[in-house]
Amino acid sequence: MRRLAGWAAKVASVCLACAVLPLAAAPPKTEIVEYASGSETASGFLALPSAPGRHAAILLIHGDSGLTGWVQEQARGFAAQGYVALAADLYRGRVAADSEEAHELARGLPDDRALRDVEAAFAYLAARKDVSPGRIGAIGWQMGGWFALQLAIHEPRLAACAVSNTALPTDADDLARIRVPILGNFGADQRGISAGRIEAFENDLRSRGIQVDVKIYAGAGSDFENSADANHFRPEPAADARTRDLAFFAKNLKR
Amino acid sequence: MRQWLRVLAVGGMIAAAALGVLVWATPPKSQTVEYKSGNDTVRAYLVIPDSPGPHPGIVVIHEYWGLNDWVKEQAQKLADQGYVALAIDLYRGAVATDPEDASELMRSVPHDQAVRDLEAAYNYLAARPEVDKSRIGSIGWCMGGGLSLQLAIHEPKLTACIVNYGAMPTDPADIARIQAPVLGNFGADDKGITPDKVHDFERAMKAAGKSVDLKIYDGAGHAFENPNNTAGYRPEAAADAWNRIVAFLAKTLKP
Repeated sequence: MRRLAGWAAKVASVCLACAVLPLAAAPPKTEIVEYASGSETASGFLALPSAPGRHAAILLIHGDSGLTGWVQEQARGFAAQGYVALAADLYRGRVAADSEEAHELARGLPDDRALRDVEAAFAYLAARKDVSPGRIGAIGWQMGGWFALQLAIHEPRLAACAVSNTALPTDADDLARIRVPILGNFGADQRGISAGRIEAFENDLRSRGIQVDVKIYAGAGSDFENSADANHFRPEPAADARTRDLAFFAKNLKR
Repeated sequence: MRQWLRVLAVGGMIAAAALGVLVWATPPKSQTVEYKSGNDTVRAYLVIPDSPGPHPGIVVIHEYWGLNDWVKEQAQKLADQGYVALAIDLYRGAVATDPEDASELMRSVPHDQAVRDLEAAYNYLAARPEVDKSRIGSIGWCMGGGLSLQLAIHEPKLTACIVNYGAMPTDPADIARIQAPVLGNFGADDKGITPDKVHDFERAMKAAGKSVDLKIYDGAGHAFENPNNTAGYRPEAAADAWNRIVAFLAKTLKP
């Protein structure tokens, strides 16, 4: 009898291990989703956490190159941390093969359509049964950060906003409408967004009691987080920025 | 003695002719001017035709390289045609010669600041004694082309708007605000602004009862009007585009 019980216990523990281990190692489920944007259809790359129930969510907004493999990786990373993550595709299916194409795509993107698509992506997330609509944050890199900040200005349901190497709004009325915590990561060597401008933005928000946390990384340019970009990738600042992003969203979006 | 006088006379006539040619061929006066745009002091390159005014005015909006020699040359060419040309500087003094730098500078300009700069430029021209403020237009290329249309959206008194391979608005509410006739030049092979986008804009403008004349050049891609763009420059298309620009301005801005 004891031998049988011992044997049963061993079988049970093997079964349990077989059940639990794959779950722990399994990458997040991902799919392309579509949603209405004005009178058109927009799409995004969705990554889902494994646990049931309602989750906090992150809207990811890409930069000049489009919804690249790296952006998809960021979405998977957020899902692995328990967020429903949606990377909006502002280029409607186009991804830049090189920097010249990235420039053409970026310069050709109508701002009004991009904003519409970003709002549509937000509304899509807020309506999902596995999303807690009061706990949706946005993160954007470069051009994507500008649209994330537009959400912070215009979308009252947004709960937190993180940006990287992004042009910062200067309009006083727009700035006054930002009511959510902001995280900013900037490369010290990027051209065009001066330390003075960043400071002015911080001071403006802080004067109204808005939490803003900015870090400027020495020796990094405007593309330092992109691990696919060998010339500009800076692994340590990139890892640090990532840690900051995750801590920021954990603090502001998780219960 | 008579022989000597004859030589002197001929020499004198030649000298006078040369001087006449020199004076006639001297380019219009150009100067750097300063004015306020919001809280910033901005600089721009102003060229005033030599002939007596007042003249129509044109806001000249650079590509993603910044206010460089090519843009200044376009301002000169417009002044040669009888327009007061104001080439603005969205980059506050920065100029790029490398496409990577140019992309970085382009995405570092906050859209709200760019629109403010455009309005400031329009108002600056309107206030100048040499300018007929009822006849001010705008022209831009690439990033500047998109912004030329933004000025048309924000400034109902704009009298002419030229866009060269720049992003076009898609929002009917914005299109409804455009009062200026629009001329556009696009390359069929432009990866970011495809012919269907050009046709969409044309349809929307016509549906709104607006004046629009868009041409798509076969065999041309992005930035085909700039000879410094060695890969993309198309001399015949560029010459044709320039002729269209000259004719359009004469029709819309000259009495």
